[in-house]
Amino acid sequence: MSEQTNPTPGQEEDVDVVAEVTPVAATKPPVYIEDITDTDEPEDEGYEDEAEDDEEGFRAPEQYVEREGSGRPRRIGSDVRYDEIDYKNIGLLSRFLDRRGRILSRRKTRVSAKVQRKIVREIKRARHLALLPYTADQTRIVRKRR
Amino acid sequence: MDGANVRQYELVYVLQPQLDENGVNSFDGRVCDVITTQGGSDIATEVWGKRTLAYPINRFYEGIYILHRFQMPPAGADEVERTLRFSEDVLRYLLMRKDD
Repeated sequence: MSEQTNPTPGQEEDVDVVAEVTPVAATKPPVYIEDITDTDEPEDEGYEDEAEDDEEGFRAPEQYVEREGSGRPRRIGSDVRYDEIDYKNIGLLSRFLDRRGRILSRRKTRVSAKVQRKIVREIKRARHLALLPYTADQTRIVRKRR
Repeated sequence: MDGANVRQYELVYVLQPQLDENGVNSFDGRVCDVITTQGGSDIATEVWGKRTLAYPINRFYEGIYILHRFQMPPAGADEVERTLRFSEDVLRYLLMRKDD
């Protein structure tokens, strides 16, 4: 697919700019057809071509290096026992909220699916009873009034 | 069915803060009466007292939190919820099954 897209813009540019370059464009189509035949017969070659394209256009490793360097804790709730997750245990549940009162995603909490489900359930119960805020704006209003 | 099938419940409700102690106690007693008439027993009460609400409810910024733990046949849950829903002093309530 990536090879098919590459030649076509080249052809269009050539046609638009100058008529002299048309021979170059003429040479390209045969290559394009050959590639198609190649990919049809053995699948492995097609995959190799795609991998090469990815390596050329791929420039992200710096981010990954930064991530490895940052020493943030792996799990926020690493010491949480399933039984102590309760809507009354506000100190524990509030660890799973961000500053705006939103529930942290499992990508951030790194907690097991079972525990995360329970946490979310209990946070929502606590919110209903006004033990925890739905949004941070709400707590701000309360604090102003007091 | 009613006598044999009994479940553990946990009930929390938030009363409006302007109630005085007598009002809280009388309401407390009324809820307990409803629970017992519905076949409930072993009522344990915890009064958390006045707490700041995380967000205002009906323009109240505080609430009186009361918690009950009790056993009751499931048929009584509707009636307990109804008494809480229809009394205006209750800002919020939460009736939960607590089966181990």
